[in-house]
Order: sequence, then structure tokens, then C-alpha cells
Amino acid sequence: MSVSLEPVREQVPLRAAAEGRRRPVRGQAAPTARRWARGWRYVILTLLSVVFLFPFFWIVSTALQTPAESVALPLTWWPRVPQLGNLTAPYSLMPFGGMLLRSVIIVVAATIGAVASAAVCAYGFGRIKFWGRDFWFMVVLSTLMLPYIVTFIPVYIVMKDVGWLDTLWPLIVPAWFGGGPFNIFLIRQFMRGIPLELEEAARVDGASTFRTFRSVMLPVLKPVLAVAAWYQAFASWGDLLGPLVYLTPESKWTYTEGLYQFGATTTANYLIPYEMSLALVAMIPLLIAFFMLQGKLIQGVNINSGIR
Amino acid sequence: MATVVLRQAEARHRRRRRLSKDERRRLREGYLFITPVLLGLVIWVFGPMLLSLFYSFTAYNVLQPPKWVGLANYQSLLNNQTFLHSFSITIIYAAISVPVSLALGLAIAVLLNRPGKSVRFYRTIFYIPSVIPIVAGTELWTTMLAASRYGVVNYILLRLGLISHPFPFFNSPNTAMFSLLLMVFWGSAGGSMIIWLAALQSVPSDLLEAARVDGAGVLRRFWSVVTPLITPTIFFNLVLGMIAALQTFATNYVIGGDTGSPLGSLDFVNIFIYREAFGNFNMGYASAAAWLMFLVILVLTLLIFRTSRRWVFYVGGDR
Repeated sequence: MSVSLEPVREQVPLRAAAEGRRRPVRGQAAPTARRWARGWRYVILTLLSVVFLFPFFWIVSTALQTPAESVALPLTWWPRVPQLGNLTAPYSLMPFGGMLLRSVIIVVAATIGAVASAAVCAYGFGRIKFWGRDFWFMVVLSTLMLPYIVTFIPVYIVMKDVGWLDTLWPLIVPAWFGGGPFNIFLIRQFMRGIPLELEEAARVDGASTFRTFRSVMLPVLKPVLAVAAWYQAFASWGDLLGPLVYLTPESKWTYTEGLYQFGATTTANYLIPYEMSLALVAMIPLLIAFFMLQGKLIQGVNINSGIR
Repeated sequence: MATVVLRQAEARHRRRRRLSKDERRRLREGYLFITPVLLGLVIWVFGPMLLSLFYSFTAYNVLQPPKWVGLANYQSLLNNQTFLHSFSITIIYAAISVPVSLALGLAIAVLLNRPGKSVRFYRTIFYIPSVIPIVAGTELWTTMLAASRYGVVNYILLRLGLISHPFPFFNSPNTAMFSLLLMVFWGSAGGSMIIWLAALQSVPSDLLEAARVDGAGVLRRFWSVVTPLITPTIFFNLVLGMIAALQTFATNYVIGGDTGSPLGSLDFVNIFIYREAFGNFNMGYASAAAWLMFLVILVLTLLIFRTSRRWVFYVGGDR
């Protein structure tokens, strides 16, 4: 969760902003010192990139090695024959198919609930003026600072009393109540950048508030809803503590829990390619979603954004 | 819940003056729209908080009803060496990981803050580790940091002759925290880089221009012009980062299980609470530990807020 409190203005980098306009233009080559500085910058950035990307190279390489290659010295940098079969081989050791299915159900159901309810609440906080609104908004925001572990134990006991242990409900239902303070905040901020006139037209035509929200506001919110969906899906997909506590038998595990258990119970070195292929599969949907949403996500949370 | 609040609000208003038709409509609709989160606050936040406060004064193993023990849980926790150890290493971890990852992000952002297309390219590269799910990322790192020559990091370091014996990484209590930090920096530097980039780009160019004309060098401009303008960002991310770091669970659980191996060196507070609650079913004891942690976070947050008046600078007041 990266939050920037700054409005993103035009992309005017520091140095260029300070010097760009004033640099003498007439055929003067950049001083050698500056060219050197620029060169070093790229050397450092490239070296850093290699460090940051190496783990991705390594997981792909290891995931495609034969068990024999993975335990041989010198280490294998790239498998002689990439073992695509490694992607499905672990399924014979643990029921990962069912785990994937449960994970997908949880992610979809929790994400829909979080986005829908966060959008509704954000509209209440952002567009309707009523007594007590700001107070409740502050209360909602202050729960950002509450450590989850304080509420986790009693919620577990309630879930147990309701008979929801070993069901998917505990991992889905809580998301339907506003989708978390952060998502409400995010959507409300985005809404504030949208001109009021947009809704007034609908209002004049006699549309109800809910109608206005649904047919005028929701379509405009699409970009920020995508970001909120991303945060919820990321959290649900990667959650370990929830499944660990709520889904105990192997037949109920989620993919993330199965991945953890596989790593924890199979200590044999030659199974590392399988573990890495499972971990790779856990990363892939998020990487795909990230590349689709990159433009929106990487701006951080741009608090002053809106329709531009 | 919402209807009760609504009625109270309406009653209170009626005492003062009659609400106009429009005001009443907005009151009704406003609370209707925020009903999901108000219900959520009661069911998932305030209700459970009160329950957990109650449990913290009881002995409760789930099978038998809770038995009131007064402050015994708290007294026992404050004398429990394991808990105090968990507590201190969690604080140390937060105190190192949050500022260092902010600083790393800043360093990368300053290197990147140039015009041109390459910025986007590098920005993506540094950000990608932030979108990796924790369990998968941690298993990848424990594989790479294996404490023998089969671990690729050790393999490279040995081949380069930088070490003569494999570095123990997650195998030794002396190096486990360091290794965890390495992994966490990889995953978090990109996130803070994004924040810094946005902040740096929000600094008005005319201010920098003015400082430059007055003869301020690069460092001077950074410290005296840019830094004050981005303190709200630093502040906000310091608070949220600290709260998140103090609640670290999944990384440590994947590396060291519910004992925080090796030898308890990764036994952070949330691992301790998890073990007490779901390993030993000491719900009362675990709730007391959770409340202690909550109080510490509250105090630390208030402290940061208090000192913030001295170092956080808001342009033009409230937005």
C-alpha cells in the first residue's frame, strides 16, 4: 500500500525544472562532468535493476529444472530442457486444483463485495452532506491504525460459534462491509475531483440519489474501482493467516495455504523445483493484473486526482 | 445500527430547529449509504475490540466459558521473557525496516527523477517486487538464501571469493533478522520509491528556480526546498509503515513457523500471539498480548503525531 499525499502535477523532474529552461542552447556541449554523472547514474540503476530482477530469473529457472539439476553442483543457471511438467507435477502430491478453485472463489467474492460496498460508502461520505458525516469518516479512517490481531481472536470465536469454521465465509463476508477504510478513502478522494455538475444534470431529470450514484457516478469511478479491486484481490489471494486459522483440513486449503504447507512439509531439496513452480503460479495472476493496471497503480494514490 | 444513529441524529436536530425537507432527505440517504461500513464497524471492529478486552482479563480456552482472572494475564506477560523478547525484536525490526526502506526508496527516486522514457522502465522494474504475494516471495528468498553452497546467493558469493564459508542467513539466530531485512527491502523499496517520485514531482519548479538563482547547490536545494515540502508524505508513510511493520506475521511464519525459528530470533509479537491463541488456545492470554501491542502502537502513533508539529510542514494549511 503506497500512499502519496502529493498531487501529481506535470512530470517536471527536479533538475530539469531548475535548469532546463535556462541552459544555454547555442551549440554548447554538456560539460564533461555532467555527462559523466549521467553515465554513472545509468550504471548504478542498471546494477540495481539486475539485483531486483535476479530473483525473478532464479524462480523461473529453478521452477523449470529437473530435481537432479536443482541439487547438482555447480548450480544450473538455465535448465538444459525446461521442464514444463513441473507446473502440474505437484498436483499429484497435494490437491492444488481444489485449492486454486477455492482461492479464486474467495478472491472474486471478496473483491466484488469490497468494491461495491466501498463505492456505496464513499458516495455517502463524499457526495451527501449530512449531520455526523465527518465524524463517522474520521472514525472509519482511524481504524487504519488498529492492529488486526486485536479483533482477530474474537472474530474467530464468533465465526466458530456461527459454525463457519472450515467454510469460505470468514474470508469473504467481512469484505462486504465497506471493503476496508483504505478503499473508502481512496474512492472518496477520487470522487472529490469529479465536478458536481455531472450529477446535477441527472438530479434535475428527477433521478433518485441511488440512481444518480449508479448510472452517473459509478461509470466515472471505473479507474479507481479497478485500483480498489486490485488491493482487495492482492490481500485475499495472498492471505495466509486467515486460511491458516479458518481452513484447517487439507481438503479446505486455499492455494496460498497449500503453497505454504508444501514448503513447510517437503524439506527434501529435490522438491525445490516443484515449490518454485507453485510459487511462480502464485505470482503470475498478480503480475498480469499489475501490468494491466500499471498506469493507475504506480501513481501511488493520487489524492487530488479526478477527471483530467 | 444505522437507524438508531439516524433517529438520534434526527431527534437532536429537531430539538434545535425543524429540518428542512431536503436536509431530512440527505440525513436519511447519507446514513443509508454508509450503512455497510457502520455495520462493519460494529461487527468487525468495536464489538470484537470490546470482546477481546474482556477476554484479556480472563482465562479462556474456547472449550470452557471464560473465567475472570483480573490482571493476571498482563502481569504474567510482563514477566514472560519470551514475550518481552518478541516485543523487543519486533520494535527493533520496525525501527530499522521502516526508515531504511523509506531511505532506499528515496535514493532510487532521486536517481530516477529525470526526464525521459527510461524513468518508466526502471520505475516498473523496482516496483515489481511489491506486487509479489508474501508467501511466494518468502519461499523464493528462503530458497535463494539457503545456508549452503546450494543456495544461489551463497554460491555466487563463494565463487566471487567474497566469503570462504557459506553465510548462514536464515539458519542462525544471529543472521536471521538481517536476512529478513534484506528480503523486506527488496519487496518494499519500490513502493516507497513511487511515493517519493510523486512527492518530488509535486515540488513547484519556480521555488527550485528561485533557490537556484540565489546560488543554492543541488544538496542545499534538496534539503531546504524539497525536504520541507515533502514532510507530510514522509510523516504519513512513517506512521502507516510503522504500524504495518509492528504487525509482521506471514514472512516470519513462512521462514520460522509458529516458534519464530531459528531459536526464536523471528518470534515477532504476532507470531507469539498466534501461537498462544491457535496453538495453545490461551485466548485470554493472547488477547492481553494483542491489547498490549495495540496500546504500544497507539502511544507510538500519538508520539509521532505530537512531534510532527515540529517537523511536518503543510503548504497552505488544510486541503
